[in-house]
Amino acid sequence: MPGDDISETDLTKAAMAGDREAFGQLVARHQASIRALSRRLARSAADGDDIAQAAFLSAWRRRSTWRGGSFRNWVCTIAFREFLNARRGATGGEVDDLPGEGGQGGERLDLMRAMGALDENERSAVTLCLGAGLSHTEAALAMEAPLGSVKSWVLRGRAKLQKALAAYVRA
Amino acid sequence: MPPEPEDDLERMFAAEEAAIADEGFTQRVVQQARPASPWRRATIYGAGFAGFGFAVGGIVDMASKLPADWLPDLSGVMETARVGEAVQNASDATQIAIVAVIAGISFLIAAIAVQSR
Repeated sequence: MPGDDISETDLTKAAMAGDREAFGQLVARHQASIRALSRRLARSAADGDDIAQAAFLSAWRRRSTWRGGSFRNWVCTIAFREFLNARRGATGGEVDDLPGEGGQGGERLDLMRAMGALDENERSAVTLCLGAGLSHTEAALAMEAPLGSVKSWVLRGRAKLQKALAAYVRA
Repeated sequence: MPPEPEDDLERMFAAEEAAIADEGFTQRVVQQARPASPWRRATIYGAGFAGFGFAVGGIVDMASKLPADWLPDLSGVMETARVGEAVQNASDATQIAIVAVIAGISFLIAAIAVQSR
């Protein structure tokens, strides 16, 4: 694809200036990580993809509010807000726990099950920090929560995941 | 022997992400990412300011019904300007003013909300 060698910074600046082609390249580069984040939060592949799509479109509409930094992390934050909005509007709260397409489904099903055992804050903090690679500070801003709380949610969530996954491996 | 948990977690997250194929997702997003209409902002803020102006107009109408010693300066202005006709429709003007205030505030809130979406 033309433009693959363009730096992330240049591509982001072009997209934020209204260049749709550059925006499309950014979406192509980051769709997997944003969809993975959204699917983990929503615990549903279909709902997660809807949230990811809404997050990218919201980023496009609000591009004038971008203040520099990582495009991916910015969209991660928007996706988290979209997840909260979707959850507020949800009536049934259906969870399919589907890991999505691809191989190694059993292992990913284990991860999804283990994530499902976390409480809401732990799952969000683990998803943002361990899954999407946001810093604790970035996750705290996205979650509008104190930094110390986010750190402890990540620690507790990680410990629970490790314990659950170790149990699956032994089983 | 069970795998090292922390490394395994990161590997599993990465594997999950790597398994997600595009399958037209990017195309769907880009198709919907249309350039913003140059009239959108003007329309939204225009409506907001029109509502605000209507509200201010209503407040001025309402002020003419206040006792003169409450707002002497404003009442003085009104006496030279519009107090005569306003007094004839006192109840209507008050109702209009209330509706105008509500409309103006609603317009502004809607404009801010839509613009920040």
